[in-house]
Amino acid sequence: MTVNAVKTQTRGQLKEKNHRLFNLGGTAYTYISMALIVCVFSFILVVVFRYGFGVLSWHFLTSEPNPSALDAASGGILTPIIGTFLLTIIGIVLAFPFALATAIYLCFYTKKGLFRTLVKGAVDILSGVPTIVIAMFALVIFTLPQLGFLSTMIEGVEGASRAYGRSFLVAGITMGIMILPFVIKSMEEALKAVPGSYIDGSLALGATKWQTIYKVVLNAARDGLVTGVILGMGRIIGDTAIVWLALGGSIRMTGNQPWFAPENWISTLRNSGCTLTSYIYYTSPAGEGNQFDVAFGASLVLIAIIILLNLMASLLGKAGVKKHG
Amino acid sequence: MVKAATITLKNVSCHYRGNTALKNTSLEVPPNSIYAFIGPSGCGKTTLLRSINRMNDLIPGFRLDGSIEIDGENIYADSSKKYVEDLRRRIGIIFQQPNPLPTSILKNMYLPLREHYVFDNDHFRQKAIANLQEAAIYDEVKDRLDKSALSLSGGQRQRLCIARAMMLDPKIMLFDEPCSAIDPVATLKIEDLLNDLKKDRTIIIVTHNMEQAKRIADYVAFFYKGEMVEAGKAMDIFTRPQTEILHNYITGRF
Ligand SMILES: Nc1ncnc2c1ncn2[C@@H]1O[C@H](COP(=O)(O)OP(=O)(O)OP(=O)(O)O)[C@@H](O)[C@H]1O
Ligand SMILES: [Mg+2]
Repeated sequence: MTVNAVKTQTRGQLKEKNHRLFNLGGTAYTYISMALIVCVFSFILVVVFRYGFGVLSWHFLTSEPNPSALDAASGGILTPIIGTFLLTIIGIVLAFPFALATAIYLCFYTKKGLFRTLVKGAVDILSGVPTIVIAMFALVIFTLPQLGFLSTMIEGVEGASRAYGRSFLVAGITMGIMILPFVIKSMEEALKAVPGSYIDGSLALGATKWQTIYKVVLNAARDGLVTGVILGMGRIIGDTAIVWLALGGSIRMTGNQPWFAPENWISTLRNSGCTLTSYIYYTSPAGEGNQFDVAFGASLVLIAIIILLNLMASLLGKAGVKKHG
Repeated sequence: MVKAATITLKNVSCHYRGNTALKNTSLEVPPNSIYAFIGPSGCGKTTLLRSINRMNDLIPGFRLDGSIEIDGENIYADSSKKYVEDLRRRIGIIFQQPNPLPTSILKNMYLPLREHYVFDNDHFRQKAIANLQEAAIYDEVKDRLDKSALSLSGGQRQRLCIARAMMLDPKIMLFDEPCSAIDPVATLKIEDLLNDLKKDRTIIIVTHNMEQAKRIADYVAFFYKGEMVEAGKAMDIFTRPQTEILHNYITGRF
């Protein structure tokens, strides 16, 4: 063996050793990070549970809140729950068709070109805009008197000719706009993941492009599309800034009473109210209530709803897998 | 036996954006025959096959010179969407990878019809069953027509795709290496099926398997580097190759 050969051999062994060390380091790094994340999350959950669980009761879930700092008189979170659901439904119903159409357009109708760049850029930028900015924008638009039918007109004030600009309708529409980029992106991913062989197969059978999209692509991408919807719902449920500015600051339903009577539904939608997130703010020490336990109780319900939503998503995914084999 | 279609290629050249995949190919596929395209990888077999039902139109930048005629009708004369879609309904194509959709077997069979908004289930159920029988897969799937097509084996999937293509009664069927993803037993089943199919149809098959070409082909065309080198009766091609390169190819010295 020459000197050179020995040298290369030891260098090879060194390299091998380095590799192993690197491997070990990488593994340790991932495990420690994971453990840390799990710790932080469980800590949050434990704290919320610890403080919030005590206030949970049937009464808490099914009675309306009262503006009182006395726990006994302050009621429950029925209207905040309803408010959260209202905004979620309005937002998703509005965003869904536009998001799907945009995703289809980006996937199947343009490969490149100025317009595509513009659309993609708009989606990217919109997804980075803080929701408080979107809420400000909504406030400017929806206080226009021409859009007064979405909220209420300011009346009885001399010289005022603006709309109030805050209501479930206004906030719902704003939520729809806010989630558009996220829903578009995740739907685009879902559509892109449909194997080209499905598309070719359909076109080879003489289907038109639209028939292929409608019958084949949307079916194959269904689980991914549902995920997109659920992602959007999660964002609406968790948002506070838009609620604050576009729904308004009141912990009760402010339309005609009783708010749940069918003849008052329109009025309820055109007026303000609150959601779980804004309720948490009011009742927290930062807001007016300083009812720590109540705020945590509402947080617990909010987290439960989000967990339920995610569970639903994975169940739907599983059902889809089962069906498709 | 029903007389199927004659396919005539006249000076066909195929270009992708930036490169030419096939140069100046002329040949005639007689009705009710199995015509095999053979040749080493990348020589343009798939390109030519997909040109016959205009699947390449979907690739941006693709261009075809020359003409392809079916019973004398130049299929590249009309490029309207409607014409091309109708053409694809007249010419079935089976790909290398079986591509059933992730729905039930029966829904896969309805796909070509449902695409065109036909919902008469009873009549089409019969038709679907008849086609599954003809594709020699019915006995294996008759108890699970409503189960997912993805629960089938590779060979079964491929036969399902063949049955699905037959829902439109194509007079021409194109096969691109239909057996390359499946085992020998399933391969033999598909070869039997092809022999059955040619009674009413004209068939072109791309294959890398010389034995398969010998077993089922009536005619063979040999391609090399984007050109057709030799074409003729299968017997002649395999027993008396005119060029050294074909001789080398069929004897496996390549
Ligand atoms: N979509 C495409 N865009 C550009 N070039 C392509 C495209 N598809 C094929 N080609 C090129 O055209 C030539 C012929 O390809 P083709 O797929 O027809 O070969 P093939 O004979 O079917 O090969 P194989 O036996 O490997 O399937 C190749 O050089 C290939 O790189
Ligand atoms: Mg090929």
